[in-house]
Order: sequence, then structure tokens, then C-alpha cells
Amino acid sequence: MDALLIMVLAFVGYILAYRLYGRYLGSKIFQLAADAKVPARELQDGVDFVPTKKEVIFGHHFTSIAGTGPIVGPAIAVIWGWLPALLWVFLGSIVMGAVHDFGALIISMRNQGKSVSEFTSKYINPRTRLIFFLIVFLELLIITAIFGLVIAVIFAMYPGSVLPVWLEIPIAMALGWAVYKRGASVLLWSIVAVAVMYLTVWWGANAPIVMPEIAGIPATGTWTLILLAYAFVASVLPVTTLLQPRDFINSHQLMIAMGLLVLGVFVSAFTTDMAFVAPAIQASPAAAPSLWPFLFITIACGAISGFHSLVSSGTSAKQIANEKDSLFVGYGSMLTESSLSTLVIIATCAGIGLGYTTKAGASLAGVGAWTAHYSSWTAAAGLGSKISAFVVGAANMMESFGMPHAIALVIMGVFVASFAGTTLDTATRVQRYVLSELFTSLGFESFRNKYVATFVAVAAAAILAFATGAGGKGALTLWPLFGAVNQVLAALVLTVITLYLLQRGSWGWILTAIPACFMVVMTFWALVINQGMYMKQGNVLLQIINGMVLVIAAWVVVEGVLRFVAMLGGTPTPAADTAR
Amino acid sequence: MKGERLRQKLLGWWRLADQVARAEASEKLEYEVGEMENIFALLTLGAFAGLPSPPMQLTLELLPLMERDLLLMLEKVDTASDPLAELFSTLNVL
Amino acid sequence: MCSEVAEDPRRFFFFMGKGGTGKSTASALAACFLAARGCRVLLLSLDPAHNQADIFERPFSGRPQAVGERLRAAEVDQRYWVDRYLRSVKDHVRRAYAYHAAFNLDRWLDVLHDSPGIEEYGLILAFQHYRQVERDIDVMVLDMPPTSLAMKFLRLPRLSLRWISHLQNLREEILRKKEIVHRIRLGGRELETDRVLGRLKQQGAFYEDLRTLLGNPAATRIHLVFNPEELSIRETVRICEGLREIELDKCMHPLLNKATGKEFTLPPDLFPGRTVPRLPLSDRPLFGLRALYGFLDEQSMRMDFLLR
Repeated sequence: MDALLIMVLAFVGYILAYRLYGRYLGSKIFQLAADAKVPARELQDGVDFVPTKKEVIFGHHFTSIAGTGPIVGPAIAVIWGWLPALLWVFLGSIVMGAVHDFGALIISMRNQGKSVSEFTSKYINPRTRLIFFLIVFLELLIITAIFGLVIAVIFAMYPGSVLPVWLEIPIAMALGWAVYKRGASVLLWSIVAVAVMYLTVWWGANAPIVMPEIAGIPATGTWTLILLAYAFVASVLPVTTLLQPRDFINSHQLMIAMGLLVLGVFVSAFTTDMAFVAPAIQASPAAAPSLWPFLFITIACGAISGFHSLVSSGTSAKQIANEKDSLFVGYGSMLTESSLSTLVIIATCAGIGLGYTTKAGASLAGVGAWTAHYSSWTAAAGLGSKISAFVVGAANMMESFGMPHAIALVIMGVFVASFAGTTLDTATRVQRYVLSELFTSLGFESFRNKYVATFVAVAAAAILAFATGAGGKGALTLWPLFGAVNQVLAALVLTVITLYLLQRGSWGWILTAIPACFMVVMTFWALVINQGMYMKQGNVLLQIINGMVLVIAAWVVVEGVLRFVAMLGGTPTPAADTAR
Repeated sequence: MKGERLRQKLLGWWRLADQVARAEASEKLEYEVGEMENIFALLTLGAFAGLPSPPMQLTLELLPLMERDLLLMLEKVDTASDPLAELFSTLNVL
Repeated sequence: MCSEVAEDPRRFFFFMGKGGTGKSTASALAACFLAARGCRVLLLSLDPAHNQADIFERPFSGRPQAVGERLRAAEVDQRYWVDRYLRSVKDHVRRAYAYHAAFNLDRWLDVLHDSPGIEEYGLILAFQHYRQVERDIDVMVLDMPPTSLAMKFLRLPRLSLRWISHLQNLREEILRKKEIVHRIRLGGRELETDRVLGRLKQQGAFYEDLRTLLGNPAATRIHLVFNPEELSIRETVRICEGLREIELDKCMHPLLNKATGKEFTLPPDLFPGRTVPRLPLSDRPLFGLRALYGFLDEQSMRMDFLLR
């Protein structure tokens, strides 16, 4: 019952926050006006700048930001207890994350749809462009390594998911062929494709594929290599062959999964004795980093994530038809992502308690089931156990309305893996561009060749993955690094929003300055602790990467503070912002 | 009466969902087409920007028909100098 | 020969060569010879040096004038054709574009007068004009400009076709994808016909027709005029290579002009398997119709190659 209560309270809380705080920010602080000029209309060109219905933008924006991040982060972070994770997800998104996404969208919209790195260089200074490139480069490198490991870990734990995840490729390609080449009806065939996918889930559950250990490389290592090779191949294919239809299928999966989760919580509340088995707070679990500051780095997507600003200032800002729509799109989609994270917390802290069968065959329930996953940071294969807590917890809840456990396990495993799989493809594509920009400007002409750049992108991720052990433990080591880079970017964008509000003479700058300072402090704290830890472990690669992020974080702080002080002292920003 | 209102509402929801689905299904392709048109414009009209171009008369023959492409090309220069945000949101990286 | 019937029975004899080889005179002689043999001839000078005015001792203009029996001549002012063309482009642009865009483009278009590519296009436009208009002739004799411009003229159709084919493919690919997007977004509404693709196809047809004509040995002859001395021969070799590259070598006809009495053997590999007609150096200046016909009377057999 308490799980249902928490879910309902959280959802009501989000709606209230949207209506109260969100609207307040929108009308009083950012002063959104229905009759204000928007780039979608002013610069309308039928290509990029197209006024679009807010629901359509929301759909695209939300699926762009939602993915594996809001699932894996909370799944790990509940090791510190369900309460801190829940509070951070709930409050963090309302006062920090959604404000960040919202603000980035508005500033972009009021700067002719220019991207976040452009308006950052306008409000702070042009040097910050390089920061963006480096941050994106590091983040994509880490994401590719981690998500490859995530999928590998899922394959290792749920061999039944191997078949459906790989079969999604031909299914997506067939959908792409039907819709793009033969002109078949989109909605009809995508429903068919999703249905076929769930059929393969049933097949996979009955035909698990186990990867043997090859030449001393553990199963996860081999899977990681295969997945990175897949990333290479997929990223050089035309977009309509695989990526577009696959992404489309995934967005359906997301809706369905969220629906199943909500339904699961609801029904379990009445038909089982589901309760929170996780401790409310556990500040220093064995071998784990401490709650302060690592909670705030571990859960990025779901609370606040710097990368959302790229999405806000990408196509969304160019499509908003009416300034007031930006509340729904920017603030609303972050809150929706948060609600997904809330469901994840419930699944990993309550749903898991409904029962868990260990590899050895022991049947656990209640607290025992939870501790099997969260007794220590690296308990039971590190990241794998954390993801398993989610998958099993969710499956348990779905069992309550009649879904067979084995099928539910595979559905959830496939869901997480599919999103991670698409990220592998797209991250490689963007990294290819980033690498060729970074290295051709340094004089390495061979990076102009798309295959060279792609290969380096994939190889670098492979090196990072193997440098940390190519397994669940490795992914767990990398996750805080991923979070730290993400939060550095978030701090930077929050600083820009603060400067924007300061420049407009609104006292509201305090509302974004506090989150900015909070993120800076937490990120720095975590980075310094990690640097010490990597030094002790002697892991040079991680030291270098972590060190780079530290330097970038320091740079962000210095630039931000300098600009802030200058602005307080009365120096206006250089370029003209048309009176808004 | 109430049933009719409900039906209309549901129909409205369905249509909206359909629109969202259609937009999702085509957004990457649309982006790609936009970029291809940009390339086409650069190839044919690039003479005005000092780019290697077809024999001048081809450019001139097509010029009167390519106002929209010319303007788009000028706009896309902005994106070209900083495409990260576009890439992140079109490709759904996260 | 002149009554052979084909779809287009006209023939086009180009005369090109290094400056000073006597190609203008050679083309004038050829025109007179053919006219005397019963063909209706138009002598068209594409050479900005306008030597024909000197040779026939009278001014010429763009409008063909009768020079002798069945013989008419005209001189093309390339600048006139370029001007005319650019004006029509400006007109189209002004009509098609919104005012502010047209306003800026106007100034750009002025600079195009001197851009590479415009000169030879002017000549092509002129050539096509006369080809279109002069239907009641049997032969058009063309006195070409200096070698480099002449080669650009001859290369232009091929070069344009390469670009056109590439652009056409790209455009068709774009349209295919747009159609897919339209179908998905709007359930298959008709896309309006793409005028750019239409124009590309039209241009393609234009150049294809020109390329076919130039590459057809039954209709086109490109006479390479050269002199019996080293530099001239070397240049001719280069021109031959150039023509081979654009597959016009089948239409190539060498002509050794200003041959002196001295024994002169051509390098055997220059024009393998062909006898190269020779025109002797005239002992008096060839100016005026009378002098031209006088020379022809003496040398008529040597000009028979024109009739084969």
C-alpha cells in the first residue's frame, strides 16, 4: 500500500509543482507571453523553424531525453535507501532539473533558436564553446562504454533477452522498409512491429542464449566487443534503414513500459503485500561511496541532467509556436522523466521485495531480496545486480496482474537494452562528428574519413570499457564519471540561466543560482574523491579522464563567477538581446 | 450527449497520438532531407560563396528557381557552425 | 554531297588552330570553295579577333550578309550574347524572388560578366542560335577563337552533362525522400512538380543534343590547322589529346597550312593512317573575294578533302 501511496503522492506532487511552481516561473520570472515573437514563426522556413503543436514537440522532446539514464541511475542510487533517492528525484527535478530544461528552452527560443553552446558563449564568453565540445566528447566516450556494458550485463543476467534484442534489428529494418520504401501506414505497421517484438520476447524467454567465456574474456567482455562492433556498423547505415524505425519502436516500448509499471504498482498494492523493503536511509553502505555527494552524481537523468539542455536548445526551441507552450515541453517533460525514475525507485525498493530467486536457486523475499542486490556497492556483479533489482522488481509487480514472470523479466530487460542499444548507435554518430572536428582542427587529416573517425570513437569506448574490467563492476565505476560530466554541464547551463535572469533585472536569478552552486559543490566534491580513489587504484586512464573533468569543472566555475561578478558590477553582455 | 462528448474527446486524443507518431516516424528523415537540400544548394549556388561549382550557366539557369534554397542555405550556415544541439535532439542520443 | 538527305542534312565545319597558322584564311577559303561547288554556306566567325572582316575587306555583324553566290558571312560578338543572357537571368530572378533578395543579387550578377565559364557559354548560345535560325544552308563553316577558348567551347557540353547528371541524381533522391516524408506526415498528398528538376532535365537535353552533334563525324568536322614547324606540330599534338579526352577525335581533320615547297615529312605517329591535306603558302596576300577565288582556282584539287 505504501508503494501505491508514494506513487500517487509523487504524481500529484508533480502536477501541483507544474501548476504552481512551473507556472510561477513561467509567468513571473521568465515572463512568458502568448503574443511574444517566437523563432518558429519569425524565421519560419518549413524545414527547421516550423510552428508545431506542443503535444507533438513534447512527444519528441520526451523520447529524446528519456532512456536508460533515468532507469539505471536510480536503480543504483537506492543503495543509499529509498528516501534520499526519492527526495532527490522529486525535489531535484522540480527545483533544479525541470527549471534547467525549461530555462534552456526559453533562452534558446529568445535567441533565434540558437543552441546552448552558442548562447553560453554569448552570456559568458566565447571560450566556453571549447568546454562544450570537450564535455560532449568525454560524455559520449563514457556513455558508449557504459551502455555497451549495460547491455552486455543484461545479456549475461537474462540470456532470454539476447534473442529479442538482436531480433529488434531485423524487425526495425522491416518496418523501415515497409514504411519508407513501400509507403505502408505508419501507425498500423508500428503496432505490428511492437507486437512482433513482444512475440520475440516470448520466444527469447524460451530460447535463452548464453555466451561462453572465450579466451579468458568473460561473457560480458565478449558481448561488449560485439555490441561496439554493432555500434560501428549501425552508425554508418542510412538513417532510415535502422535508426529511425528502431527509435520509433522504442518510443512505443517506453509508453508501454511506463504503463505496465504504473499498472503494476496499482494492482500489486491491492493483491499483494508489497511494501518498501529497502531501508529508508543507508548513508554508508559497504564499499560504496558515501551518500553525500555521490547521490547527486549517480542520479543525473531523473533529477537534473545537463545534456537535456542540448535537446531543449535543439529542435524543440525552433518549433515552439507560442511562448507559453514551453512550460509543457520543457518543464513538463522533465517531470515526466522524473515520474519514470520514481517508478524505478518503487520497483527496486518495493517490487523486489515480492520475491527473488538467486542464481543458486535460493528463494528470497522481503529485505533479503533487497540486500542480495544492495548489500554492497559491488554485490553480485556490480551494475548487474542493480539493474536486476529493477527488472525483477518490475516483473514482480507485473506478475500481480497476470503477466508470467519469465515474460515480464524479458520485457523489462529488452526495454532497458533497446534504449541503450539505440544510444550506442546515435552516440557513435555524434562522436564521429565531434572527433573529426576536434582532430582535424589539430591537423589530423585522416579524421575526415568517416570510417576512421567512427573506428576511433568505438575503439576508445572499448578501451575505456576494458580498462575498468569489462563487466558490471566496471560499469559501476564509470557511472559516477558519467554523472559528474553531466552535472558539470548542468551547472554551466544553470549559471547561464542565472546570468540571463540577472541581466533582465529579475530577482529570480537566485532561484537558479542556488541549484547552480549546489551542483558545482556536489560535482567538485565527488570528482576530488574519485581522483583520490583512482590514484590509489593506479588506474591511469580513469585518472586522466577524471582529471580532465575536474579541470573543466574548475574552468566553468571560474568563468561563471567572473561573469557573474562583472554583471553585478554593471557590465552588460556583449551581443544585443532584443529587449527580452 | 455525454457519450458523444466523450467520443469526440477520445477521437481528439487518437488524432493527436497519430500526429505525434507520424512526426516521430519522420523526424530523422526530414532532417536528412533538409541537409541534402542544403548540399544541393551549396553545389549549385556555391559560386556565390566561392565554392567550386558547376559551369556558371548551370548556376544561372537554376538560380531563379531556388530562392527558398538560397535562403535556407544562408540559415544553415548558423547550424553548420554549431550542430551539437541539433544532433542531440534529432538523433535522440540520450 | 550537298544534297545528301538526313534528319538534319547540314554539316558543321570547325576550323581551329594556334594563332598565325592561317586558320581564318583557311576557313574563308573553305567557305568559298564549298559555295563554288554548289553548297549554300554560312561562314560564322567566333573569333574575337574578327579576321574575316580583314580577309573579305568589309565589316561584318551578327546578321549574316551575302558575300558571294550562295555565300553569307557573320561575326559573333560574344559579349553581346553574354549580356543578353545575363539580362534574361536578372529578369527571371527579379520576377521569381522576393524583392529584397533580388535587390542584392542584382549587384552580384553584374560581376559575372567576367567570370570563368561565361565566355564559352556566350559562344555556345551564339552557335545554338545560328543553328536554330539558319536552316536553309548546307554547310556552316566556323572560324574558331584561339585554341584555349575553342577547347573550352568544345568541352563545355560534356562538363555540363557531368554536373547535370550528378545534380539530377541528388535532386531525384531528395524528391524520393520528400515523398516518403509527405506520405507519412500527410497521408500521401501529391507533391508539386519540382521545377528545379525540370530545368535540370531541360539543360541535360540541351547539352546532350549539342554533344551528339559535335561527336557525330557525319555532321561535324573539326579541322586542326597547323604549319610545318616544330611548335605548331607540338601544339597540334596537344589539341589532339584534348579532343581524344572529350571523344571528339573521330571528327578531327588535320590540315597542314602554309606548306612551303620544301620536302616536309610529318612524324608518322601524328595522324596514323591518314593523308593530311596540304595547302601551300600563298605568294601573295589573300585579301578580297577575287584573291581568294584566284587562289582556289590554282589549288582547287587540294581543297577536295572538304567534299569527301
